[in-house]
Amino acid sequence: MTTGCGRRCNFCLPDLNPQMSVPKDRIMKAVAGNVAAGNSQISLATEDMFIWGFNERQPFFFPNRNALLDLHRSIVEHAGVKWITLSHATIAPAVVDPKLIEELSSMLLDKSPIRMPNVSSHPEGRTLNPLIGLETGSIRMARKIMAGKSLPLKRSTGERGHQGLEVSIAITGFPS
Amino acid sequence: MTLIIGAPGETAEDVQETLDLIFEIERRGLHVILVPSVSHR
Repeated sequence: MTTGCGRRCNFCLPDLNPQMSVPKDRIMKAVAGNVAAGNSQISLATEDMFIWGFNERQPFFFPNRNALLDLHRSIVEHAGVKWITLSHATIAPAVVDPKLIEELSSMLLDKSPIRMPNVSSHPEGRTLNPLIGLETGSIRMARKIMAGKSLPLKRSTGERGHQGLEVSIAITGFPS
Repeated sequence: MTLIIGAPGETAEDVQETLDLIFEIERRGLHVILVPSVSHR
């Protein structure tokens, strides 16, 4: 789905790769190839699913809602795709565009093979579980090792709990 | 979610703030699977 990330966290090797979105037609060919070979579970490899297909008129860290919904809708509707699991994501885009999270959740939950009925409001207890690098609760360390990770959000100096707020918004929007 | 403990330059106060964040997640009843990773130098 993507290579690279562009947030330049100083502990992250994949971030050193050139930032690139794989075109939708190539992704769909890969989906078709997997299905034809007997794999009915699709997981799009990415360092951050929200930077795929970003709008070139905006910085990369603003998610392109229409493109993301279109891509995932095509996969959901592809004959033979039974399950979809998520790879990596960041929190900030979820805060920037909660409607994207809401619509993606609505679209993808029925295709998730993961069930956590104690935490999900889905009728079958399904959840979506993107892997998110939270890394630290220290604002000082966040600035030091991953200053670009919260873009386009800006942190207030010394505002403890800010990350917790970001988490709560993203998490209540995503898996339940 | 992944957490890094032991990043170069991390202080005891930084670690405490990460623990505070974990407690805050619990206090808010958020459903998160936390995956710790230890940084080696």
